[in-house]
Amino acid sequence: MKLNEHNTQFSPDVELDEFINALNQERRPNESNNEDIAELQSLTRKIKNLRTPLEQSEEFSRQLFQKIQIPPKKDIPRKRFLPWSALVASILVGVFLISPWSHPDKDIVLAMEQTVQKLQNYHGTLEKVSTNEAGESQVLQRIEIWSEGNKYATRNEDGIVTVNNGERRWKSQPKSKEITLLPIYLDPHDFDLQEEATKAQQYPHKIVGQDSIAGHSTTRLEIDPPGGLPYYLWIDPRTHMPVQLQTAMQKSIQTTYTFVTLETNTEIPISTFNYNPPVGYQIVDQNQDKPVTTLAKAIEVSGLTPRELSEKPKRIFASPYRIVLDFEDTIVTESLLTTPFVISPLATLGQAAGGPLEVLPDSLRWQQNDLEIQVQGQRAEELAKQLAPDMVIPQGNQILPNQPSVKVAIDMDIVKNNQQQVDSGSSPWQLDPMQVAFTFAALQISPSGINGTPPLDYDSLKVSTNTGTDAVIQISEGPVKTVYVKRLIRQDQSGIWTVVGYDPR
Amino acid sequence: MVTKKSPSNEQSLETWYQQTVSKLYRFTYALLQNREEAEDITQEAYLRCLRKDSKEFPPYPYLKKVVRNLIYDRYRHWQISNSQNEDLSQSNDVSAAEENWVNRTLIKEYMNQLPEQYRQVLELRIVEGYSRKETAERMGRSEDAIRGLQYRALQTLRDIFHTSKRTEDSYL
Repeated sequence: MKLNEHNTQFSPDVELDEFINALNQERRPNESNNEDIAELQSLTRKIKNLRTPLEQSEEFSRQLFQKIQIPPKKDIPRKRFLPWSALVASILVGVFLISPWSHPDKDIVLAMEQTVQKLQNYHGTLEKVSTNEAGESQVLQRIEIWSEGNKYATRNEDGIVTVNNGERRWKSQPKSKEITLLPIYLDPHDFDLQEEATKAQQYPHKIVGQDSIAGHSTTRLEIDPPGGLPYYLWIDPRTHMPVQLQTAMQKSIQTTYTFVTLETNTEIPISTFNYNPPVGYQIVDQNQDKPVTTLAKAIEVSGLTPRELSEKPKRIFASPYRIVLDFEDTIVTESLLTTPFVISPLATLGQAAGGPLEVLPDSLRWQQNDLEIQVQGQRAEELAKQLAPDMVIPQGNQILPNQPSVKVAIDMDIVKNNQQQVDSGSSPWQLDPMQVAFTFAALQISPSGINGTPPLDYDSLKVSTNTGTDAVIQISEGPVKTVYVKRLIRQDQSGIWTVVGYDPR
Repeated sequence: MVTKKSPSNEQSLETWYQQTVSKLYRFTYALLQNREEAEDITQEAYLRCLRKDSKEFPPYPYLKKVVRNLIYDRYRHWQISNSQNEDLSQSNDVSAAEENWVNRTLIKEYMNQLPEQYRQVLELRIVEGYSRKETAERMGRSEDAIRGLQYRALQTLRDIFHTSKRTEDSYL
């Protein structure tokens, strides 16, 4: 049995645990003197071999090559004085140490950017976890990813495969035996390695810690995009690959993307990206827009006069009455206004071009002149404000100008219980402020409960304000004129609305 | 054959090095599963080969042999615990990738014979490399329980290894 630093004995399970920790952290582990434990340690190394093989770092290869280039030293008597070459070398080291390139964060970010740019392909499993302001986390999805050049394929836990091979994009659903052809332009990738490495290199950044991510020691980088909120990127210092990305808390949600496995420059079967529908599969074409080379051509095909942006799109697509401008990270869709503008009840309500603005995570939608405009993607707000400079996006937790004349007593235990019910899949209507207000108003008319036809027309309700945390609903008929609702437990898309007050008619 | 004393020695050295370094490192890493040790042993193997007064750069199988000997020198007990794979590993006809694949398949097969909780703790803690705390959270157990569980799981896996070895031997 081994002795620890305090000269007390480690039990076998503790000694083995220490060994596993060292292997996981790529440290040199202590071999046990006990034959029995040493055998289990050896077995542990064999099991560890089941994970993705780790390539040697370029730095190690380079340093080793330098070492083997130097011929073995003969027994030469040492000189007593510093040779000139060493003096020059020491001066150069001094210059390097005070130079801006000597900072380790610059080195690791530069190395990451270069490694990622040279990446031929990768295959990994990406986990997406969402955390709200209360610190509650939820695994949203786990997807397997294959990427090679401009080709990108994913498979989710339900076996649904989505492929973009640069020429077409489709979704294959084995359960329903269906292949859906999708627009090639609307293909945002979660945690795009090339894009994140480039951004980290371009934006101000600093190393803020070391963390163990999915069993690997990593360096945590804080990246501060100009005009944006700081976010974090974790880099594996051995492979120089980014392994985890954590967004800033936006609209009360923080998202963490982690590559729980990642193989780089591996062999990806060509068939992964081949469009080859299996026999018996139904093909559904949802891809009406066709690529066009110029905006003039798009105007000709669509018959629209679109609002233009200062930045040139990477690609343009068009179909009758519709133009799509693809900026890679953000998509702008402009289409002819044909139906009344209906805002999603789950959306926050803003203002644009003198009318309502639908605000959803990563998406803004409004009407402008005779067009309906939707901007989706990472830079949705930036590009949307170019099209509608008067745009107002509400901030959560702001005090609204109008307050209810009658306050409703709230039992927080009941509210918490309701939230838990909704979390478990019951009563999802409580996520919709309109339905919460409707139920409240209907119960004011029929306090004993609603049987059969509700005593109120649902169309008489209209959301006048929705900041994401507070909403005000106007009702044009019945004894209640205005209902005030609030997200009391969680201020995100999963938070229920509760009536906090009302104005009687 | 690449020679040490050819006119373009430096170029030859670089070619020999580039042709061998990645696979030798992978081979070493597969045995040790640890970056620090793998780098150390790989470096020592190259330096030993180059110190030898030979006219030629040694072929890759020789480098592998040096790596194996260095590991055995460092960890004596390995000679016993790894003897069952030795016949396979010594063969120059078997590539490192194939050898690795065979070993991995064998481990997977044995791990699948473990009770679910044992298999899960070894996968999370060792294969995936999660910390004891992370593993405890994922399995809904305490950190102490995970430490005990992983120890018992490894003991059981070792028993499966030994039983399989005895069964194989009885057929030979």
